[in-house]
Amino acid sequence: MRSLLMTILLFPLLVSAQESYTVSGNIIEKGSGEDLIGATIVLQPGMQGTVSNHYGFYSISAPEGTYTISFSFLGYETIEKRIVLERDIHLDAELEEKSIRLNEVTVSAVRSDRNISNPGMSIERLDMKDVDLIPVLMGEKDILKTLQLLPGISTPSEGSTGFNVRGGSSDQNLILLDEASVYSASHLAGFFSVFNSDIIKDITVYKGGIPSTYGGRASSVVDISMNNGNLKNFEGKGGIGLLSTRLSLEGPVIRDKMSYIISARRSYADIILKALPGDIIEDGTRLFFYDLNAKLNFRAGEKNRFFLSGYAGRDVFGFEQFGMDWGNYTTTFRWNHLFSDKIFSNTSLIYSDFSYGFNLDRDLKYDSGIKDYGLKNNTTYFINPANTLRAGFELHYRDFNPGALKSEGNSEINIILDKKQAIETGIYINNKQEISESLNANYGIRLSAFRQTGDADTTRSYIIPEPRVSVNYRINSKSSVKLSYNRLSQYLHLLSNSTTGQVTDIWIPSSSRIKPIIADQFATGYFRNFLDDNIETSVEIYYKNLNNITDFEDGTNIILNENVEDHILSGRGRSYGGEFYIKKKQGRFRGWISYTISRTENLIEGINDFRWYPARYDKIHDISLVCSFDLSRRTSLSSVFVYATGNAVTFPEGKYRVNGMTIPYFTERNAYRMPPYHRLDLSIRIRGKERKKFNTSWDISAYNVYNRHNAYSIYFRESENNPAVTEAVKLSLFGIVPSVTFNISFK
Amino acid sequence: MRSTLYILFLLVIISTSCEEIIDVDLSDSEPVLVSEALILKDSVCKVNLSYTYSYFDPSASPAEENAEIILSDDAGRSEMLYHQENGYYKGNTLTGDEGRTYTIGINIEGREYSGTAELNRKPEIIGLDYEILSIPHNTDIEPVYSVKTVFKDRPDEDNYYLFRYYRNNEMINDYFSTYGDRVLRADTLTFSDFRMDFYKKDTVRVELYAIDEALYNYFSRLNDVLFSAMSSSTPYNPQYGFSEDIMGYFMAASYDSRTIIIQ
Repeated sequence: MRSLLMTILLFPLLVSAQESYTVSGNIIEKGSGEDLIGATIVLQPGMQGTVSNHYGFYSISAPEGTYTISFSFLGYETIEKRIVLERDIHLDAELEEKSIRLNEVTVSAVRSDRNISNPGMSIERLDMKDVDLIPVLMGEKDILKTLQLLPGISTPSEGSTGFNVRGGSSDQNLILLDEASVYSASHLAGFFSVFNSDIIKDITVYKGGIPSTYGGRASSVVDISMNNGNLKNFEGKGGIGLLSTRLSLEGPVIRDKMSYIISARRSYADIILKALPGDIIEDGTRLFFYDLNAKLNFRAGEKNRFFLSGYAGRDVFGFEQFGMDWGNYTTTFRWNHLFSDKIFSNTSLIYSDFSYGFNLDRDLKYDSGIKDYGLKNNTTYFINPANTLRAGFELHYRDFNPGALKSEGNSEINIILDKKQAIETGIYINNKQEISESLNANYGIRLSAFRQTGDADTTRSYIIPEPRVSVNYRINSKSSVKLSYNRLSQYLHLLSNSTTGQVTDIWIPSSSRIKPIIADQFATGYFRNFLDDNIETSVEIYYKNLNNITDFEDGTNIILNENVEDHILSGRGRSYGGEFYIKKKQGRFRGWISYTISRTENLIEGINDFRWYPARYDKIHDISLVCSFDLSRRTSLSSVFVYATGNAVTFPEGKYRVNGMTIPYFTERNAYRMPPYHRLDLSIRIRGKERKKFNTSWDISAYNVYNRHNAYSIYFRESENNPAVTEAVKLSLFGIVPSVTFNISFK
Repeated sequence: MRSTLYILFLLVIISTSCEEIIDVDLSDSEPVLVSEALILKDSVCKVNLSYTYSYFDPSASPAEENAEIILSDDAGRSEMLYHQENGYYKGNTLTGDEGRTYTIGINIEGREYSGTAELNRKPEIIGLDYEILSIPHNTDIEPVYSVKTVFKDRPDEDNYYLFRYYRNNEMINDYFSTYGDRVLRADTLTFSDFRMDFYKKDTVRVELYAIDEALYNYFSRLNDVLFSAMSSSTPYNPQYGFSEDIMGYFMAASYDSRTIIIQ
């Protein structure tokens, strides 16, 4: 192990021992000063290239000489500059957004072929412009629902924002908002996500080949960045939809140096229903959710930048004396520091909190939740164009509240489960290396360590080395083959009786009884681009093995159960499949087709006679078809079609009578299938005339256009007319749901 | 709790949801024995033996009429139950006593099953009361009432209760409540189940059974299975803790009852 580390550490240093200079700087959007993440920088001659990082920073080194440097970003005008490299240069670039021009064949200037030149595989970046046009339920733009349209990512149930990545359960997704973990990413029983897409800049999802900079969850990483705020001018945008209304404002505090963005969203079903005649809901009823995001961004010279970002969101629900509410709070403080032109470092202090509570009357209250205090550092050393070394650490202290029922009036009622605390650390090193012109690799290792603190007899320490490798072999300028392996560990477990994820679910740390989940994933893929990289296609296959996944003994009560760990069953999971993807990125007609064929199975002692059985979210076929088409400069049409095999479910294979009732008798776990799910959504966006001070648009959409009654659940009951007759009932949630949203942006 | 949230959400936000009765092709499992055994204070033991059968079969459940059933207690008494008809068996003289532990043994062609239950002390209902649950917005809808049971608890020990309800002398089959005093214990407790709707002029009878922990767990799970059918929980068979491959339960209990008329 040690010699491997030494090799990884020293190898790039050896090859960098030649005379060279560095050009570095920030790439920002011209109008707003917003960082551009993942912009391409290329030096000619030599075709040395790099991409800007999460903060828009880039650094590239080359031998002394005269070069043409080009900066490009999808949807933006490319900038080319001649530079004489005889010393280190600081060079910022401001890219301007292309105006919408129809009938234009866009040929991007340089290297929009990252999907075949980069070793990263099973990684998807969502373009916010795609998200913006995709039709969704009730007109609420939703990044998590857009993710579900990508290959390898499936939805556990209709309308849900939970998602399964390559056979992982929804609690195995690490969802980061400005680096802070969001423990429950949904509103209204899972139908809407907590992310207000107006203020989101970038979303990257890692399904596999996860670099060692990330850790903590077994199946995927969804890294979401909030906008920094306009550094140049004040601007705002907002919208009014059927479900919610939203407004964001941003602008400079000190022009080009400091900016803010603040955004709010609130649903208003309660207000409308109260205003309507006929007393649909009672006066004391509370039913709403809200999200608040805010961020400050400060450039203190060329070497230092500071960011402070926060999120608060809650669902509130109640009537009379009964009430419940839940939500997340997150805060991130970040400091970017340039140690040199080649060494970029970011240090973050992070707090995140998820809590759930209800009260039965004024006196009796229940709450549960998790608090997470984190410290992270990531340092990137841009050694030379062939090697980019990253190293860093991550430290989390988590405070778990597994549940407490309290009464102020009568303390005898109190049931307070012991709080648990745990420390999780990760240190990592990673190098991205161009080994030869056609071969490049991203390899590293993460060492994660965990301990549940306190003196309970269930505490135990774990140390798990997590190797991560992905290799890209470029066959020619249009195609490449990639290979990746990663190991991930997860020391957090979500206790859940349901499969869709509920706010009542409880997070607990690993212990001597509950071992950390360990996922090993192998993936390989073939990538080919057509029409000057305008069409990307890929085929990937993967195999994932999950150790120490958990389930419960039948009928285990999760809430306020001190001994819940005694009823946890553990076992193995496996998932394998193929993913096919065709994407057209630019032009009047854009979109993608994704098809996933996969199997996901579990083997757990105590369930299904210890035989392999399909996981509930084992979807054999999953197809998504997403298109958008610019009819004219002001009108765009878009559509989504999805088809998926029904979830695996347990149906009765008999019945019996007890206590005067008919009870279903179950045999095999998940041996049946729900009917196949399919749905078509359509949406049209009509933009108003462009004005100096403000722009408006209307989104008119219909969810489930052909009104298919997709099964949300199938349940079995005695017939109401004749108790001797038993029947199967299909419940479908959404028929056709039309919606309209009005959007406005102003300066 | 979860279902309340769902129902409200569904009602308020979505008017497009719908339920349809559909055909589902189900296989038939091998028949499994189902035993419903009951010994009450001062009564003889009653047992009903049947089998699981095809889910969509509208006929009555198949009965087991050739079993040998022996009831015994921890005082050394025992007797064999006799078959009445259709799988119903009955004891002769051995009646239930408070504080005794009873064992039932079933033998069907060499296959043996057994279960043990404790007959707890008789609980005591102090009184019944009712309260209006919701005041309707218009006069077309009848107001809904909830019945409260005030009863004596023994705070110095773990107690488990089962509530059965009768409306106008008819037992409400598909609703019952369980309560374990781990949550709250006191000399006097008040219990009401908001799922149970009563209306004006209903004659409501509540039977309060003192049961043992195993039976409490069984009925709680039965409740769970019956009421979580629409939610996404994984379904399962509630097990009582008989020997393997048998459904049903063995209940030894004493009970108290009261009646109230909602006016």
